[in-house]
Amino acid sequence: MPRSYIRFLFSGLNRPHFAVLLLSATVFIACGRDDDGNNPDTQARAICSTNIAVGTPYELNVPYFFPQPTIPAENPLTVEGIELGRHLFWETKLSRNNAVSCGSCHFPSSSFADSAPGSTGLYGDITPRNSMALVNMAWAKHFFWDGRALTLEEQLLEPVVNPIEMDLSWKEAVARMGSEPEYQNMFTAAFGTPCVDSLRITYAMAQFIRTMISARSSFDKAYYYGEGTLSPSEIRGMELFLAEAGDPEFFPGGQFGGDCFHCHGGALVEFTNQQFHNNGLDTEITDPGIGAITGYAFDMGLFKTPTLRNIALSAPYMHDGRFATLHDVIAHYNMGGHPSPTIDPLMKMQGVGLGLSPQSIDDLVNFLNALTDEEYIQNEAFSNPH
Amino acid sequence: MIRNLRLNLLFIGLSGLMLSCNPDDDTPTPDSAEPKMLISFEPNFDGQEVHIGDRFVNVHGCTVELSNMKFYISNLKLYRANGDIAQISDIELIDVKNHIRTLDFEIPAGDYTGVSFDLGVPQELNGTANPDFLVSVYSQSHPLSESNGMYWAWQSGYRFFIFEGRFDTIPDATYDLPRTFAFHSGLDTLFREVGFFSKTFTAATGQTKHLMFSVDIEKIFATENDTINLWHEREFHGSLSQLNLGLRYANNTAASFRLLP
Repeated sequence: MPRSYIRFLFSGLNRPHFAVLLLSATVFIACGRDDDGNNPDTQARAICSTNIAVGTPYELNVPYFFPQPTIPAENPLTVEGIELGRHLFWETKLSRNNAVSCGSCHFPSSSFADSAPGSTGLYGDITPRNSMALVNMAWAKHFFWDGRALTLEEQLLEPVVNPIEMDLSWKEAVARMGSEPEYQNMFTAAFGTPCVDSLRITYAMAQFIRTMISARSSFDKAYYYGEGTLSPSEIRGMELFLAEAGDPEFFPGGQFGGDCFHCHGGALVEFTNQQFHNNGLDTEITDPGIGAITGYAFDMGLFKTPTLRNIALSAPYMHDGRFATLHDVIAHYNMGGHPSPTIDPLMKMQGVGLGLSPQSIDDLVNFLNALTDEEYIQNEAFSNPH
Repeated sequence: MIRNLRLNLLFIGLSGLMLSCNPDDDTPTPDSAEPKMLISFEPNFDGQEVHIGDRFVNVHGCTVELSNMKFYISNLKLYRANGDIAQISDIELIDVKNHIRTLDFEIPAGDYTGVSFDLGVPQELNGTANPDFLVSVYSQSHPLSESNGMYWAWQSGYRFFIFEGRFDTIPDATYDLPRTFAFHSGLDTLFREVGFFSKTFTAATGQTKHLMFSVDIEKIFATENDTINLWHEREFHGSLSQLNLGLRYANNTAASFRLLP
């Protein structure tokens, strides 16, 4: 590290500030995972004396049927922090050539995902995995398909410096944001001083993303708010969603169902169990998923269960975007999945199949379509402010 | 000056490392603090600890690999020597795969004679008797939060005991395990009192007491009164048509707990 940079880091800090800086930096770094092994710049560097928001407290508008999410005590929501985070989310200056922002791979019409299997980065290279939809991240327990980040703040450190995605060092990102008078004012409003560091940037963006709550789909309106009704096909699809797989004559306890609820939530709220599964995509595992993070043989080929809220908008599907449509997805489950050493025990019909009829598949797709929340993707509070 | 700076950096760095990485049970309890009670649960097979991914040969000669074990402990009580009974928790989730195996409590100082708990979610928490029940009554940090993936379906409440894995259909075969099993208990009728475990101990101010329970997997497959044979019975998910299997599974899981010395 150049001496001038060290002086910059420490200039203006008195002894207590210095201690706080070192302690917080150590806590963040001590247990962090450098899972790609070659990009230490993803790790947080605390430069500012504090990263606790000082703005107007913001109360998250949690739907009555959702659990109260856990908001990190070190990053409370504020009106000013959220607005700063929104500007940063859509800020193309956070990419080396000013070409892309977070929103470039997480655009509203796709439920803040990407419509391509892999996203195109600032130089035209393609990311190896499908961009995940940003829906109800306030409740997420793991981030990325392989769960390598345990907090939203930690997750947000990666894309800016990723050489395919935005390819900007945090040092340069901090310098760029710190030199903009508008951002100086916004950082002051959010954190009390115009100081900029990677923690403040990611904290603000995390605040913004936590406000992105989707709970006004036609299913929600009918099921939770008594507004309108689901069609017979959608209701039949919901029943299949909640029913056990298999013909009971051959598989005791079977209900001829789609057996979706085991992994996508039986409470019909979050539509994910927040766990990792191998859902039988391949016999030969080519992407280890969370297995690359934990190193366990039994984790090879396991990926995070995504929420099904707005799933109709976020095609293509799976971690590599291999399925173009929901019909393709259900066809995969209907054939039972491909056996492998780590296929999930909940893929109960491997080698046999669910036996869903074409009408049942249509009903399931119609139910999944009913989870689309148009108000969410049109919400001005999430739109590009630039 | 520079030397002091380096020492400070080293000290603060090491402190940060210890604060962020130390397991709870290694943290010294201040002398003035209430006694701490740690209660842990560990899967075992024939006396050997079993981790996720470990294999063993069950009573029917099947090689079995453990993939998932997750269950609710409820009505956790400590029995004091003076006859008082202290319920220290209504509900707790043990999740072996996600390394949630040790419960941590502060308890009053004094002499104790034992501990008891139930297996599953009591009906008053399960919501099954309440047609207006919403899983959202439990915040995300609560053991019953939907975010823990234990809510079963819209009419039957929570799963109580998840036990999943893969196995070989050919006894004593050595090649990979092509079949899977999944047992999920969860109806109110499958709630079980595990019972009282005698353990005399004194909890003094500033001390930490640790009770370790084994979950004996061999007893899930076979007790004196019952056996569950994966060749014929490898799935239970609450269907009333399989209630007999569910009852046996609930009885066996409740009988699988053993307080280690």
